[in-house]
Amino acid sequence: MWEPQGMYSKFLLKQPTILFGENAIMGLKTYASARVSVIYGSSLNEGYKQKIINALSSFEISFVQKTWFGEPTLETLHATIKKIEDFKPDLIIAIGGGSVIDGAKMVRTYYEFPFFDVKETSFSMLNWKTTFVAIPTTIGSGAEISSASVMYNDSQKTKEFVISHQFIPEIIVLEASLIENAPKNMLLASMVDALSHAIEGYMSTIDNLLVDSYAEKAIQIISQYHHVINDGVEHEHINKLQLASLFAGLVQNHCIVGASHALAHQMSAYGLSHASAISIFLPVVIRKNISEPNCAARFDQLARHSGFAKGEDLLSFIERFISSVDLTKERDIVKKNRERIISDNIFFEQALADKGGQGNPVPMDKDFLLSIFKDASS
Amino acid sequence: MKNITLTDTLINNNPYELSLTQKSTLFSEALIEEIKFHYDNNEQYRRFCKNKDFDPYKFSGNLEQIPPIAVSVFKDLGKDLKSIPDSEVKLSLQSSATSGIPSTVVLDKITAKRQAKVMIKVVKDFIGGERKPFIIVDVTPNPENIKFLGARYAAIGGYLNFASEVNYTLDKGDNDKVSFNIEKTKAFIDAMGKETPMVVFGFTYMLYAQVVKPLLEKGIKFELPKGSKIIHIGGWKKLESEKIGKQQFNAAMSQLFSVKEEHVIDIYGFTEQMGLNYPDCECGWKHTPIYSEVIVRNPVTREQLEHGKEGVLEFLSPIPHSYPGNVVLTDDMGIINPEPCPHGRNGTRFKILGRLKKAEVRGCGDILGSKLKFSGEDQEFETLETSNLELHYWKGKKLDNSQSAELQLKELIDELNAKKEWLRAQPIDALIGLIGEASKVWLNAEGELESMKEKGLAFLANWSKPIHLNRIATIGLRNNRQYIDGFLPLNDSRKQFLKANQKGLVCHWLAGNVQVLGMFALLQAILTKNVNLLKISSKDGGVFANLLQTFEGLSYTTPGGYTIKGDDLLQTIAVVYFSHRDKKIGELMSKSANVRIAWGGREAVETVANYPSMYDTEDIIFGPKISFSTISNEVLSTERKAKKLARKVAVDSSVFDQTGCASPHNLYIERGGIVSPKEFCEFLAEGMEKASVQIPKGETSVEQISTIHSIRGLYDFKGEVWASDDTTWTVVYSEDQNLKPPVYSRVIMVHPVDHINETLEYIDDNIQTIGLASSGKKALDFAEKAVEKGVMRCPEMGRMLNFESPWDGIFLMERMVRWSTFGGPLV
Repeated sequence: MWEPQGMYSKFLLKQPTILFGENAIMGLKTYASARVSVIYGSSLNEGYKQKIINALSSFEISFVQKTWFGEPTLETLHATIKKIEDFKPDLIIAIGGGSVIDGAKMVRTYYEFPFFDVKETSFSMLNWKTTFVAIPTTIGSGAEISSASVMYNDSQKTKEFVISHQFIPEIIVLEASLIENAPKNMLLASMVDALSHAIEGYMSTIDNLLVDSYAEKAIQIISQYHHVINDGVEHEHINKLQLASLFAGLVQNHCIVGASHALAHQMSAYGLSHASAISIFLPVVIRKNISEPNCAARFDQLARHSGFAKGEDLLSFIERFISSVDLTKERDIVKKNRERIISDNIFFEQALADKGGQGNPVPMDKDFLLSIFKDASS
Repeated sequence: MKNITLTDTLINNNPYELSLTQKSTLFSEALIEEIKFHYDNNEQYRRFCKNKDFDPYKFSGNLEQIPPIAVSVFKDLGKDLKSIPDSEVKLSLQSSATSGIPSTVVLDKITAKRQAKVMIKVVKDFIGGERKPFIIVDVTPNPENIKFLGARYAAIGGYLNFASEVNYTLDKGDNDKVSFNIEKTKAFIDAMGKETPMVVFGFTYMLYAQVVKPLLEKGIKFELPKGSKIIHIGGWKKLESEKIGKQQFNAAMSQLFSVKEEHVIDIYGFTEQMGLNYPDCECGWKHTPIYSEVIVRNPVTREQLEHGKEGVLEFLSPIPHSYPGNVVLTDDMGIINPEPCPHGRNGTRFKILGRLKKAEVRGCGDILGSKLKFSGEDQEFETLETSNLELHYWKGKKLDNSQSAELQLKELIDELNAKKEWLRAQPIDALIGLIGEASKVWLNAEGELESMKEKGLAFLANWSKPIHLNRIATIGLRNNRQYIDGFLPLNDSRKQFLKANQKGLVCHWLAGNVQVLGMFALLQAILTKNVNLLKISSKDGGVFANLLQTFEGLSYTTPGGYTIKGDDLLQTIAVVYFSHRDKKIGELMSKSANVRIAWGGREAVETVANYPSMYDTEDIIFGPKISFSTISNEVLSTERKAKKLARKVAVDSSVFDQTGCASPHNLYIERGGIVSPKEFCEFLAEGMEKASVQIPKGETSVEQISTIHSIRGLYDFKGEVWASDDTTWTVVYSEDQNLKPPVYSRVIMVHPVDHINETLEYIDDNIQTIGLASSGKKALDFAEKAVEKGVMRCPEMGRMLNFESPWDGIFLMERMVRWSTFGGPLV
């Protein structure tokens, strides 16, 4: 996360080791470890388990299925933390989607710093002693490059962001083989999430020339290769999309994203996945923002630099892309809850207060978000 | 020759004739005339008067309003403290220095004459005008004995004025051993006949050692003629350890020489006002002659006390002319009796009650003269004793206290060792979490712990927060605290693995000055999974037990659900006390230790170093050290910065009331800043005042207070003093540069220097910490040179006392583990 530092600007490009290409996982062989815990999501196929075992030179490996669903809470993390504490790994692998990687970040935090308190503990004095490896099985979340870990606060129905550059994994493994069998629709929605990171990050009030190029490159790659998801072409092309998603994640990590995220985060209470919610709000948010001339100019620039003729072309690409995602179920949920949400003040208050959405280029107020929600849900 | 002075007129009078009203004007005028003389002719004295806001030309108050000079001034400045040109100096007098540094005064013709005159007048009044046979209990004052006699030589010379015949009773043999020549003395007494009364004269301690003790044992007795008297001088200082009182002494002397008890006359006097003698009157009290006056002051506040109250004695006299010794505050305690003397002597009646004890050195600054003392035979062990084993804190199995202390300790050690396995199985992070729970309690400082508030408890609480312990353990265990939990890659190797193991039993010998330091060592011993036996200092006052009590009933559960109980941890720790003179039990503890840690105090360190131990026992000795602070001029670039810095120096000088090894006692300030060293003292004074509110001071003993007054008195002469109205804090400034020995009790001695590097010459390996306020290359150069010369730390100002790792050159945790490897080696 980029932070304003008063007199000067600081851009911290913490560069994890990125292993990619065929058999990227074998790159782990060179890392020293005594005991390894592998935290995975709902399932992990035996073939890949074996691949992981082959790639490691440690004494012992434990496979731990995550014990949380959706976004982790301290309570749902507990059973996983216990297994990790008992096993005492010095290398932790998180393999799965954004929720697995984010949850594993918290597991590692509580394992290494049992005294960790979301509200109090500062990381300035802490250093990891474990190595953390993220192996994303989806494209788009950006969790593998994010300095934030998200925990869901059960009682407040809000997401709590724990932010530190320390959360960026030491190693990222981008394995195309893990993506190819993922549900197409989920992958498509994830790609929209990736696009939203690049676009909202680029448009953010936090202007950062250094990451602009990452945003431009990410959009350019996605616009060029997005069809591979449907067509199921070669691994190397999927690998390109994985890198594009990583670039977009990096943009999000340094420039606070905007209104799409502010609203989308509130929809998890209604059972919408993050990516689907983003898919519903993103085009409306862009339109709303570019009605302001400065934003329109900036959007035009992004479009041109990423290979489009003008902003409108990029926007219509996004809309076309989203239309290829099956959002029937999600749109139904939104429609069904439309009136309730419109009259729900707290929903908008929380959206306005959402730390993950405060970079919107047009200052947000309730009416602004309300009109976006109305447009998106009609 | 000069004009007749008021003093010359005064001393023409007999000593005890004039009444107080007759005396008062004569005396005061003579005194003020002398003081004016010093004020005009002695720059140091003039500075002192100005510091004290005293101008003799405008003075019209009472005697007690004249600022007194502490005897410490004569010890420190001695010869330099003169009001006459060098050409007029006749000789310099030095005190016998029975305790510490001698006082020195310089005499001119005028002073010497006055001294001789008043002495004769006073002594005559007691032993009569005619010369008498003298038995002098000392060696003959011939040239070969001058060195042996020292200051006694001059005194004997003075009394020879009253002698017709003299018998020196002591013979000097080899190695300066003296013996009383009984035969010669008997012969002398016989030769003098029974008619003429005699005088026995000697120094009190010589009389005691050479006469009272040996002759009483032998049952020897001399028959002196009727009316004979015994006079003895020199005071009781050397006899303190003999525990003999004046009464017993007088009784013994009177019996030995067949002299009336009231004729055994103790004469009091002191170098700073040589010539003025105060013999015991038959009424049992001493009198001030017309040549002097006495005032009793409260040793703490220095206010004049009413008659009948005990206090420190101040003597006023116009006699000293060559040096400003006219108003002297002694270290002697006494009392004034306002009733008139039944024997008709006028003059204030007073008694000496003893000497104000000098403050014991209690801090780390009691540095060792030579580290080699560690290996030498220790005389302490000549006086052995058997003591009890006091169990100050132990939650494990009850010991059989019908057994000997040694057997009990052995049982305790076995119990502790049996807990090693349990401790080994505890994850370090659970231990950190548990201590973290205790730190929350310490931070609140309620109940028994409240008294620890000013003794570093808040710092301990913050230091013990898990986030900090995590860091300490990480730094201490080769950058990964989890090495203590199991094998992990060594230096990122896939082939070789490293593990840290408990050493076993850590024995701590704790010091009484900064108890909290011992806690830092204990916690690190726990984190390295060692069981602990602590031998507390006699001054502990229950502090350790209170701190450990916090763990009772406490527990900590990790986010994964592992629970560790404070009560279980307490079974791995025992706090005991036994006398350090008990060699057997001390040795047993030492021989059982896998790690020995001794903190601070000279006594603990020396004792521990002399105990036997296993050959592979790890010794961690935090020996006595001292510290100072240095400020370079570029950091004094604005008043604001200087004030801020001064507050930090004040904190360093106030924490633990300066008893820490890392406490600064001296502060060097580079000249040439926008704020001068002297101006900085003013800011420092403000800072000390503020710090006295934020960090309340512990109890200050009367002795310590007296020491503070002495040092203030001295710097009123040498430089300048800023101080609290009471004795809470003191900032003194003088142009001299030498590192001054610590006074403790928030006394900071400031010296200007031209360059901070000048202070490097004061560094040796007795200096632990230098608080450094400097910047850039200058700071780096200084720090590098300083550590090369032996300094361990150059922390920021305001944080000198913050215990850090490494401490005193040591990463404590690393020394409390065994390192083992698995796999490899790589080469």
